[in-house]
Amino acid sequence: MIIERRRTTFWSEEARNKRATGCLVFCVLVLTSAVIGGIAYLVQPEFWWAGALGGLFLALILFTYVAQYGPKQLIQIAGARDADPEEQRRMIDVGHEMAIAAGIPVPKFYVTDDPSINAFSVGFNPSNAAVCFTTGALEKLNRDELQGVMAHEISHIKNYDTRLMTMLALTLGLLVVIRSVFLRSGGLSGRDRGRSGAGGILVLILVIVAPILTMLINLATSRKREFLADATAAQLTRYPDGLADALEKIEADSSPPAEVNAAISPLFISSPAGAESDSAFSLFSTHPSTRERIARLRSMGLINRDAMTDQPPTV
Amino acid sequence: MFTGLVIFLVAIALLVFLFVALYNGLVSLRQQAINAWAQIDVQLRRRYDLIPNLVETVKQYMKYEQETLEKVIQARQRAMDAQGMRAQGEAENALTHALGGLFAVAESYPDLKASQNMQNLQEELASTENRISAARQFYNDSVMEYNTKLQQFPQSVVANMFGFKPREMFEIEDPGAREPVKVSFS
Repeated sequence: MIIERRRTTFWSEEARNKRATGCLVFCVLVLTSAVIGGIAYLVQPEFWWAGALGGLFLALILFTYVAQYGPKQLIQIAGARDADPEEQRRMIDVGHEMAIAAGIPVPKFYVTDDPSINAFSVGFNPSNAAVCFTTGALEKLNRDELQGVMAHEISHIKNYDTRLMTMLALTLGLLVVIRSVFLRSGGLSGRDRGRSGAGGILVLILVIVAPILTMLINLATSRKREFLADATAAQLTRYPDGLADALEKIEADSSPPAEVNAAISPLFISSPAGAESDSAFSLFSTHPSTRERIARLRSMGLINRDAMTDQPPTV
Repeated sequence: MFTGLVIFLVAIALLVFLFVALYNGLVSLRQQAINAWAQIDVQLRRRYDLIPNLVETVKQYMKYEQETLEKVIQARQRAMDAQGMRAQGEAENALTHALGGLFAVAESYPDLKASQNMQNLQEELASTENRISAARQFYNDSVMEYNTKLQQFPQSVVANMFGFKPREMFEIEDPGAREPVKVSFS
């Protein structure tokens, strides 16, 4: 029965993530359209609609591009290289095992040169997803631990967390751009057109931006997402202690992490230190405390030792 | 009168739509279970293919263990010949045990342990064992989802009309076999 309940939350999480991504995309489309329309209004009031339409198309093209090439770009930002079938064989094997257990296509595998223990996954769809490990993780984790971490990453792909996070990274980038554009145009038009035009746009933008920002923060800080990926990982490996051991090693590990671009830091299994302090992502503590995650996995292990080794519940 | 007719037609259209959606949902769940079953076979075949290789490697070092090797070869043959879900499950278990025995014996051959070829085979086989149990696990998960849907209302109505049958889960008799064999020399 335990497994059955977990299964349903599992599916609804996928649906929830797809809905959230759709909602996010919609909000950003409206926002870009409003902003560019607003700027057009300031410049040439009778052509506001052209600006709005242009903004809409611009955002649509951007999203299509991101859906297509975003994951690849993130891999490049991370400075990752293809995993070598000989050298990183264990990682690739474990990845195959977990993909089979999750019933998703086998993702691509990448490695980054980084002495700290970490991993992340990207992908708009499970069929074009990728998992990336640091060399530190491959050297310091044993097979069971590696499997636990791999299962966690595969869970992110299967639950469509990766899709949401890719879009989230893009939206944050867009917001920064829009903000700077607005500040510039607001500054220019403030004297020319009088305060009313700029003030109206400011209110409009606040009205639209505030809810999006709130949603972003809610999404990015959703600790549930990490806990859920841990729980799914336990379901895939049937051995929650593997991931718990890995998290303990990550916490005890003192290797300085390589410089990580802030845009991809929320994707990692444990936040790369340093990335926390800069850029837009400083707002979001994306990961629940490692200690709490370990505690949950350990308690799961205790239950599983009785429940999981039984026959699966017959319906 | 006219509005009544429109409402009636819309209701019918909605019902048909719902019906089709339920039917398609069941079909895709059933297909997922069938695919999951095929995936188990893929992984089992992978193991069959590995074993001759393993036996060749081991033979060079273990001259006095003909019996253990023979057991593995026979278990492989029986597993390949087995018919039916239950018989095959049992034969596969026997093969897993025979392999476990082989690796246990291999412990006492330091040269064999050190050989690169053996180490590769060991990882390959450990991974294959894991893939087999992962595939079985996913099959069971898929079957459970499908069987549950079959019994839930309103899917149960559609299922009865079109003769969707519940599928059998893969069950392992020996509880120890659920754990993949540890083929580690350390």
